Amino acid sequence: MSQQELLTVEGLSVTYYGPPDVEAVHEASFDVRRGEIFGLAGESGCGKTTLIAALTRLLPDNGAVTAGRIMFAGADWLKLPPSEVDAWRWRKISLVSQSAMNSLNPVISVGEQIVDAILAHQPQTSKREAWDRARALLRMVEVDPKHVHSYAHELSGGMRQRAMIAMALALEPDLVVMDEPTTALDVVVQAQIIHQVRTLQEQLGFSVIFVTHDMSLLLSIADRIAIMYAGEIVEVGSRERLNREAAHPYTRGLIESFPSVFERKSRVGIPGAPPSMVTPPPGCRFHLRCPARLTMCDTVVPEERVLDAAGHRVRCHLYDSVEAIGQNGRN
Amino acid sequence: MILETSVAKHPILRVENLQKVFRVKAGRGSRHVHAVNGVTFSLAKGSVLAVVGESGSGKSTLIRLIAHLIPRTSGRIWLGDEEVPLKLGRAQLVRYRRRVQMIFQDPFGALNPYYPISYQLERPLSNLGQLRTRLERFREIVRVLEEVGLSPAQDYLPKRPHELSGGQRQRVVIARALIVSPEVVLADEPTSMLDVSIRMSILNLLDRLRQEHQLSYVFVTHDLASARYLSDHIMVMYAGQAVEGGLTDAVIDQAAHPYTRLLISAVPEPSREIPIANPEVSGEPPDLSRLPQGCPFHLRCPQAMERCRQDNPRPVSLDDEHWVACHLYG
Repeated sequence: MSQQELLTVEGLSVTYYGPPDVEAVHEASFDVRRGEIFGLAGESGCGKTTLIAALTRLLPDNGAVTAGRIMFAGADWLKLPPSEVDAWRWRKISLVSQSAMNSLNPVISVGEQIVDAILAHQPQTSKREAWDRARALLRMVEVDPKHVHSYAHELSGGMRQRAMIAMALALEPDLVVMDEPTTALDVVVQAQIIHQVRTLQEQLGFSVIFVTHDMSLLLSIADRIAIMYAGEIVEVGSRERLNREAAHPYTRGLIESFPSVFERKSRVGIPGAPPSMVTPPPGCRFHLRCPARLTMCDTVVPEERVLDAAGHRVRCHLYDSVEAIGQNGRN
Repeated sequence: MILETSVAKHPILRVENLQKVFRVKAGRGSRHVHAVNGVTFSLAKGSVLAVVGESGSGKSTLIRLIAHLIPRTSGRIWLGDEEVPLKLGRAQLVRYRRRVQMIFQDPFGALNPYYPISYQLERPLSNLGQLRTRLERFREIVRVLEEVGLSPAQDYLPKRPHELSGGQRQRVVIARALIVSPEVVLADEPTSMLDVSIRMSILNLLDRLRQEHQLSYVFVTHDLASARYLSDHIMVMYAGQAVEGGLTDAVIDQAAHPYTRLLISAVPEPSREIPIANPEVSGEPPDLSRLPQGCPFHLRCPQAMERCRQDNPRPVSLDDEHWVACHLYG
């Protein structure tokens, strides 16, 4: 792992024990660099939320990592004992989830929740200092600091989500995981929050994993993007690269699924529906919906290929011939 | 005289100065929420009017008023040449529902989980009483299912909603609206709850059905991109009012109202030099029970003038088929 990388995920698989058992994430590999926005895109049921739960060590009791490892800030993250994980929470890694309404405690004021987090993780802080910090944090996300005494229901959806972001940044973590943070918000509020995150990131230098089904949004804001389909990461590449020439037919279909505001062009989306994760299709998991399907795709699982030195990677038989670059490009 | 916004030569649907005020209990008294505030438009046969706006703009209330799901406070509605009275008797409502159908946002909530698809499609046929015999109704159900792409229909008839995917369920909801051969279809965010990869197929299905049956749609959406994709006319709503409207291409390419411009700049558009602009406005839409005096947008508008704080602007015509309600334009 080079200095540049904050988080490296290698061959991660996650299973929920049933019956039936469901492998929700299958051999996922990617890395997140310092100071970047790393986008994770996929449809509902593709495993992105499970992947995030594994990354934040918040898998439910019936879920377990069955293979792979995660290196995070120099530590073998999945091997850290729970007590240490708890100590790292908020300080090194924090989570902003989709519905801020349900994430904020409804019977405690917003300020108290921030103060709690600060005092729990930095007990040497005085109460007064913690309250000052809570006000400063709200100001930082452009929420009037008088709202330290407000309860979640007294704030608008946008303000609640800003308060969640303020909380996530309270202990200056290295990595902030944002799971569909703007999906429930209107487009203007979404734009405001996106710019806020960008500005704060430039000031504080944290990395963001931004999870969403909104491909247009990621192609607008992320530095690099991973595309997930049926539990697998099928492509990873820079925003520029994916905007210019996405390699995987699913990625292309996903991009095609978003019409443009500025041109009226016929689009087809992707035929069919995502497969069941209980019995994922054999071979390439996308073959049933793929417009570029080869005979071998029905039975042979495609291996991942590296397409360029910048680490553009894809899992698709269309690129089987680029093996040579693949081995050079991998570090 | 109210400007005829979104003019149509032979409108199939026309609404004038539509208003809806909800009374909401608040403590001992009550508040009045002005959800729809004087909306006027007309819809030409075979065309699509997209109503766009953020949550709370009144767009969903507007089509529920037109669908007669909730009573309007005031204003007039015409369907073809007939004026639709404020209150409809049972027989009148049946006739109205035959001509005006609605497609709901949530395909999970819109279908009764207890009944098979065949039953869900037979209900409107027997309720609205067009086809007498069961055999006729059965043939019609099969035809419509095939038409919305659920083929072979026999496979779907005995299934219950939970056995179908989200996209298939939305196709059933569309089939149920179409089975009575309506003239106007009111669609409330028909794709927003579906997986992204199947949204286009539903938009394309709606477009094909419109062409084949000369249907007319009022298409409510928060997504400007799908509005552009499907509609020929567009109306932008803010705080219960229509602030701009006209031909879709004109409204998007030559947006006049500062709010329309704000919406367009905030849409993520990777092909743009600045994919998402940093909105130069702060704040959020006003409380509909405490609307400000003047233009509803003036508190957030970067170009607000003294006049905007006093008078609510009336729509003015910019072009043959483009109008705006904003003091910047006279």
